[in-house]
Amino acid sequence: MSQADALLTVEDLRVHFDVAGGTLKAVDGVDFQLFPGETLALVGESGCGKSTLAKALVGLNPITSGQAQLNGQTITGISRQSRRRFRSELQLVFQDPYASLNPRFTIAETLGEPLLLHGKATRQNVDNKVCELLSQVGLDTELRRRYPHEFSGGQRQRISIARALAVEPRLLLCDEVTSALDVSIQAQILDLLRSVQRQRGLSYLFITHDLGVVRYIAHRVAVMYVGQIVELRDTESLFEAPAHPYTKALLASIPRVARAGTGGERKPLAGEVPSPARPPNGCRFHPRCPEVFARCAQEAPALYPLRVGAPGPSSGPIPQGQSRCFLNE
Amino acid sequence: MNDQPERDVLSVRDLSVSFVTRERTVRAVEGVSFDLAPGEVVGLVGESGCGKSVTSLTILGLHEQPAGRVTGSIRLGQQELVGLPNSKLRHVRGNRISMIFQDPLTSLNPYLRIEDQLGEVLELHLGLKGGPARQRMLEILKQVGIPGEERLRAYPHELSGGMRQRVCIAMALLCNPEVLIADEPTTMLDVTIQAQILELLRDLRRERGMSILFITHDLGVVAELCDRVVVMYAGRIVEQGPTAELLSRPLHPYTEALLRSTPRVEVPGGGQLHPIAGLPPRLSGKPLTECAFAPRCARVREGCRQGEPALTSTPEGRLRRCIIPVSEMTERA
Repeated sequence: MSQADALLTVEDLRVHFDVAGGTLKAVDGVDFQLFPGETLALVGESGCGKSTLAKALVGLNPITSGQAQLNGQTITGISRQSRRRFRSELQLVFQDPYASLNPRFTIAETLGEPLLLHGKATRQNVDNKVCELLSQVGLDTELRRRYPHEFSGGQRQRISIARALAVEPRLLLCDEVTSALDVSIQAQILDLLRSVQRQRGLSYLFITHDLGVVRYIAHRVAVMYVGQIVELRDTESLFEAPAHPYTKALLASIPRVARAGTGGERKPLAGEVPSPARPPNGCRFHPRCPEVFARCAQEAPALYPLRVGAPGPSSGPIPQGQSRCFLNE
Repeated sequence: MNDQPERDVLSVRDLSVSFVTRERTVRAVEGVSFDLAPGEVVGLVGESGCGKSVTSLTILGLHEQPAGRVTGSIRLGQQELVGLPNSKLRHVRGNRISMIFQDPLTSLNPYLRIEDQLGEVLELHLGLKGGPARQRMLEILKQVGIPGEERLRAYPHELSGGMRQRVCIAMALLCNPEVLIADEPTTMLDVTIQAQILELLRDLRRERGMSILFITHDLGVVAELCDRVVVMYAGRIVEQGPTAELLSRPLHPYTEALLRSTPRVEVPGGGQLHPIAGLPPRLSGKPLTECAFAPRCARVREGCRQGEPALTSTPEGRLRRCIIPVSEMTERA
């Protein structure tokens, strides 16, 4: 697909914060595109900048430089007034559905408000619309007179999703939406998100630290480390043949059910994620990298296209992608 | 571990815990029994509200008020802990059993330097002060992978999440306990740091022969750390067995369903996800009239509605609370 087809285009986006003794470069030059009907997962450990990036896209964090376009229209660095127009295109769903639902609103009120505000319903048909939304997210319409505290965590997350869908967005930013849920409920929510995507052709920017979830739900994956994307791949090739040493380490450290009885054989990645206020010189991963060589400490690698013939799955077309490592130059 | 003649360090028998509130009685734990052998790591697994944390807090007598009504027995070696007055229990906690929690920041006093947090424990439990105390602190910090004296002067907020959890583990190890209870200690950590902490716990078990009761909802973590697994649902044990067998050949439909609803990082497309329909039951004071999992069970049949099944043993010594024949459970696997 070409640039013009992209629903969301992010170009050299930077979000820097002034902190005591310097600048914290939370997001430091991020580029990617998101296509209609696609799920792009943004993964990485705490402090990699994935949530800061999502907040910047909806105007909750100031942008230092760079820009983002939704449908060809710039959505960064614009006034609150003009941002309003994009609210109906771009919606957010958060980790904690209890904190993001108004405890004093019934479910009908919670869903009715955005419907009326964005002109998606009138006073006459708002109740019907609310019922439609509830059945789409798999909730009993009889429950709409109840308050958030009367629902379980999974049900509340369904309500948050229904509220986001109310304004008929094209893009949903999902920030750790299943992290607070038990696995059996998480599976229900993931299935719901998949079926909603099929029905509405929605795109998801899916932020999570859980790589099992990523493999299940994402079409492509951007791996972030200290404010930058270090690898951008289609999901299956990332999991089958990761290119960047950080991605390899990340995948290796996930505990796996299939490894029962073999525990303790692997050597975990040493050290910790450096602070984005003091990123290492050269490649930001070099102090922890098992494949480090002299150049890594001196020069910062760019995001190199993974050439045809680069590591890929044994069958099928050779995947394209990008990796920020001299080994892939 | 079955062939070892050694006595179990910790032995829980028919433990029940109920909380009485104004509106209702909640039976959070119902007839739970399990053992922990020397040097063994047992995983206590289940979803929110299954009673795994209440079980572990009961072992330490750490309920918040109003305290639960506890029946049954918890034996630490020769000593019975149920009914032990708090003054005596305090001696057991820290000296013989220690606990680490999910959030190391709330377990550490934000106003105290690391040396003062550790020093307090040493003075209170072992009467160590000054030079010998300092010596012991450095020794233990080195063991948990925090070398160097400068960390002793740090405050908790100056440390990363992984470092804080290491400090909590150090604090738990100061008195050389026989049993460590770990309640979701890696849940808040990033995966690369989680891998480091799991490695540390494995080393500690190997080097000290310490027994660990590991509470978690993450079956991947269980697979990599635990010798044996106890699966809980609705306050009850539904299955118990050696880790590799239990995970590859579950004998209870709930264990099977948990495995089938976990996205697999090693399987293309994350594997097939089969969500468990519905929600866990609300726990009341009344006895069950059917299997607790029956309303959500994919294999449910008529017999499941006729009273709660008992926990029975298979010929290999695995335990399960289900009436479906073992052969049927293992066919599909």
